Amino acid sequence: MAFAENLAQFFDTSTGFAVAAIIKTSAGATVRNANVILTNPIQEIGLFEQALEKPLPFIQIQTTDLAGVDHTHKIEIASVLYRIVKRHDDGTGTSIVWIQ
Amino acid sequence: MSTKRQSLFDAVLTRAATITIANGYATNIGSHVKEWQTTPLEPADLDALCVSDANENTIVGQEGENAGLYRRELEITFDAVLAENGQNAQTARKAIGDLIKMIGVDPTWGSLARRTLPISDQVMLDDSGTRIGGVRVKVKIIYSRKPWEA
Repeated sequence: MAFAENLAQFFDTSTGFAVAAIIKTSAGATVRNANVILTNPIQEIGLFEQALEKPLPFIQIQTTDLAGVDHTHKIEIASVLYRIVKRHDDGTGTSIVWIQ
Repeated sequence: MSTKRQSLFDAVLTRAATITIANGYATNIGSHVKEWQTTPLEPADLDALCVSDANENTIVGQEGENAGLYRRELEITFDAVLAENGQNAQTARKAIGDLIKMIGVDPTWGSLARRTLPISDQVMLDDSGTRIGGVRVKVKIIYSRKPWEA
């Protein structure tokens, strides 16, 4: 019998680490609500010999919540609307999505 | 005592600071001019223009200089770090145009130099999707100075 990971406990907004997010089309229509784990580190961007410290946020999300979602979609978290920059599915049922 | 190189660099910084939309340019990179910026910028610094003068070459015996007056080529590097409005390099191209226009106001920098010659200009975009662009413009300022005169 295949092992089915229970991801819900990680993506719980009250007992887990998640926050509520709304996935939207580029036109602003809601695709679905999803719980995501937001990380917002400040990292260094290099351009020629200059560097810029800038937040490079990403979310962890259940891969099933990304069905039909591509780079044209937006993700709203705490009233901030982010673009989807790139996506990495880790194969265990969760994905990392870099947002700006 | 200010050296000729310091006077030239001061003139470059002063002129670079005039690059604002209010002064008829297409960008405001002159609002945040930084000399030899070696530590990371912050988002509040954008759009920024970082200026440095790493190299100066000496050429002996050309263009009519006698043995007592050598031709100097002071390389100035302008690095602009810019926030783009979309997935494009439009602000970067405007910044290049502004730098060319700024130098063209007076390529002798108030008669401190003979002229200023272009070397290269480059555009670069951050690949992490931040829509931050970079511009590097290199020029060389041609002036004369005695062999051991500062």
